Amino acid sequence: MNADGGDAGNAITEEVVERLLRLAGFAVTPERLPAVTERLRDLYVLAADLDGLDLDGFAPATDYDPSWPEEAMA
Amino acid sequence: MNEPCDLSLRQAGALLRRRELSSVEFTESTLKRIEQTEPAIHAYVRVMADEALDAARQADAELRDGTDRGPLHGMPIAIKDIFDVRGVPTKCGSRVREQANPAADDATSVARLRAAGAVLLGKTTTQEVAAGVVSPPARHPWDTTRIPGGSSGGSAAAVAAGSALAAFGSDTGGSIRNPAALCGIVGLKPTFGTVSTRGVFPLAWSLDTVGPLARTVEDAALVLNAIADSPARDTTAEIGEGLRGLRLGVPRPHFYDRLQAGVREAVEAALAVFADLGAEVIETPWAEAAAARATCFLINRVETVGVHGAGVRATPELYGEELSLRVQANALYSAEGYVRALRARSAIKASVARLFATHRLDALIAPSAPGTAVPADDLYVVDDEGNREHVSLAYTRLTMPFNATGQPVLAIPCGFDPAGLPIGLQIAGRPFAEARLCRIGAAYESAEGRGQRAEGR
Repeated sequence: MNADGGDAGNAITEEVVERLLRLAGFAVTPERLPAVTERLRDLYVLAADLDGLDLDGFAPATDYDPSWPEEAMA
Repeated sequence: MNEPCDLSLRQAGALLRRRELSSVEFTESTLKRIEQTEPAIHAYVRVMADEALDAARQADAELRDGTDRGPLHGMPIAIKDIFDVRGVPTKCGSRVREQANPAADDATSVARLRAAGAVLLGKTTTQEVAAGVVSPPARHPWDTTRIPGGSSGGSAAAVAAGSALAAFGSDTGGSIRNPAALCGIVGLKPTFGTVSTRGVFPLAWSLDTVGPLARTVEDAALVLNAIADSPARDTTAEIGEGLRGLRLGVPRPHFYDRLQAGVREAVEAALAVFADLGAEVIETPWAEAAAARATCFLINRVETVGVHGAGVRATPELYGEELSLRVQANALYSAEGYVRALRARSAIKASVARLFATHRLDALIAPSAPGTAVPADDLYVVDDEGNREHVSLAYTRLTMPFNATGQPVLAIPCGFDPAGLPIGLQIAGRPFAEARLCRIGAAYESAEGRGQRAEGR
């Protein structure tokens, strides 16, 4: 499965979703599989809106502060 | 109307200091309004009447003794039920939290509210874990067949109905601005990180933002002043300075696409008002707007798994169907896709900064929502061509881009649709420029009047 919206939508089938849900430790009920599958496909479709961005030079927007609390530094 | 509970914080505070009304009288008036309206609007999950009256008596005693804690002193204010209030369980509209223990401490923002002398009225209704825009069973105070929006829907309904003078909300994808727009009140989403989220139940950590809902722009600014981490910044500082010399951008397309005609007309009319007031209103397309929305959506969805994934695995029966489906689907989204969204967030911040710099903008002006409040039994916004868009997408389409950027955004009322339902617009500014946004919003409010309840409704 790739990160963009391109081919991922086609790769997401109910069979794939069922296997992934089991691997991820979720209870799987057959009647819910179409709805979960649809929602996962929707995420990849939405991700296609990022295709036009040039991400060269942009690091992920994370904010990690390595400093320790004062009491730990004492 | 025109009871003490219908006043703005500024008006109420003036009466309080002239000893014409007491905090107890404001609180009793508000509690009476709660009694009158709650059977229909369900804005509250818990009303803390005794505690509120005790706090009001204390506020009055302090004023008599010469202690004045500032503009919120003695004012009855409501808290969305995702904020910890000492001694009260935080249930978040969730069955998972139904047996939650009383909070051991106040959320930081709630503690600041208390320190500012406010009277805590109770906890307001939210969508399940604040993940949505409907806020059942809360209803719109002007038309109880409709929803108030969400997820701060109870807070917005309470402020609009007069059952709180102001309220706390949170905004991860639009949950302050959307219900503010639908209920005809003011909502202020501050710059990300401006108000501590300690003691606020998370939805998506890197997006969650705490802010006020209020009747006027100045009221919203006063509440933010009391709860912000940097009290040195006065959000009211520029109110009254007028708009001459300010530059306001109109980010077409995206923000002006697929609007109901009433919304389009009201926002276009507001743009003319801004120009009449002396602002330069210029067209400023933001090519990355749709990507900004997608970025927020994806980050929100993945982080929600971080909060609720274990719960959905362990006790799926305690989650609503839609949230449970969503968490399962989101859990399968790829790590690579999530990191790509985080990189996109950096690119989008750069793009909107460039937009502001290129056009020397003070703010962008856009509708808060593409349509007005929908019926509770038909959760679709219908545009003028008959296209139906579920509220979970429609009501966040125009708000989420600014959650991705983390900019401050002020939502104000700007008119009514043909059915008399409120319409709102949002004013998005530079980081930490809340005072500028309040200057712009207050100028419009002075010219057009605050979002008064439509006559006869």
